[in-house]
Amino acid sequence: MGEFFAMGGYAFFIWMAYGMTALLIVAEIVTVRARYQRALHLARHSEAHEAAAGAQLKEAE
Amino acid sequence: MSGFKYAAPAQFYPLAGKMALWFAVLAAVLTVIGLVIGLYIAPIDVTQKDSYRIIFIHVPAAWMSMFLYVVMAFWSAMALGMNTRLSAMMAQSIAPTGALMTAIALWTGALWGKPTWGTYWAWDARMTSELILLFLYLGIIALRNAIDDPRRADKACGVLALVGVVNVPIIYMSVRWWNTLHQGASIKLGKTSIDDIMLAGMLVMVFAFWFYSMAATLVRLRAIMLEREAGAAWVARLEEVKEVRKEQ
Repeated sequence: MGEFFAMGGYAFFIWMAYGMTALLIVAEIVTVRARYQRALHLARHSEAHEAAAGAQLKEAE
Repeated sequence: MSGFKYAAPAQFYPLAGKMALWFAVLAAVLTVIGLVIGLYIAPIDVTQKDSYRIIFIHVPAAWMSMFLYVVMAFWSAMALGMNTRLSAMMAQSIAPTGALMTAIALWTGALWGKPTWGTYWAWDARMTSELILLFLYLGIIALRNAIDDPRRADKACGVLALVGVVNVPIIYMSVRWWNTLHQGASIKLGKTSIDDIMLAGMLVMVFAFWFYSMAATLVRLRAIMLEREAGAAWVARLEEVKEVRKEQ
């Protein structure tokens, strides 16, 4: 196991490359999901929607 | 079934959600397979020893950085030429993931350069043009943030994206046109210069990065659709928007 992580003496370069890549991708996943949740929240509480939903109810009646 | 059906946000929104989920699952599975091949199964390189293993993320990220730019420029051209709002949103959704892939390509390239060439950075044609690609992505993102009206931002960013696309063939051809520190392509049709298992691992990682980029872009696209069309009737009709309203 130690040999695996040592990467034949190139551990610093390999793990800095893979580590930063993982960090950046995880950061993007977190921010993209947060942006989607925020957009969904805004859509749910948009005043225009309240009006649209009201109009739909009237249509249904 | 007509493809045009999906040109409207109302139709594409649910499809994008399904695609994003499947692409994310595929990306995760391929990443695990690719990492096992790249870091464990693939033998060490005769000249570069273990340092070459950076190839399994460097090349996929570099390819995606250029591919995503071309796709972004394509949707920008569609948005400018046809004035379709979904095309503009697609272009908008790609820029951050493109910037991320470019940053990964530059970062991993530097960490590969040090052990193989003795330097993290050189102002050679390949590296400089890839750095310009990063600035183009960041410039497009900054330009959008600087313009309040989304439709005007679409036009400005679209023009910048189209002007910048000239940089992509320069990046691609730089190792042939100039005598660069960066090596030439290892992957060529018919005469690839790397081992089969190394090639397999790299291609698996290319697909992993491709599926990941599509998933991230599609989720961002769904967020952008909701942000920009918050008042539209199709958003109000979405189940995930209606549900909460009933509860209240």
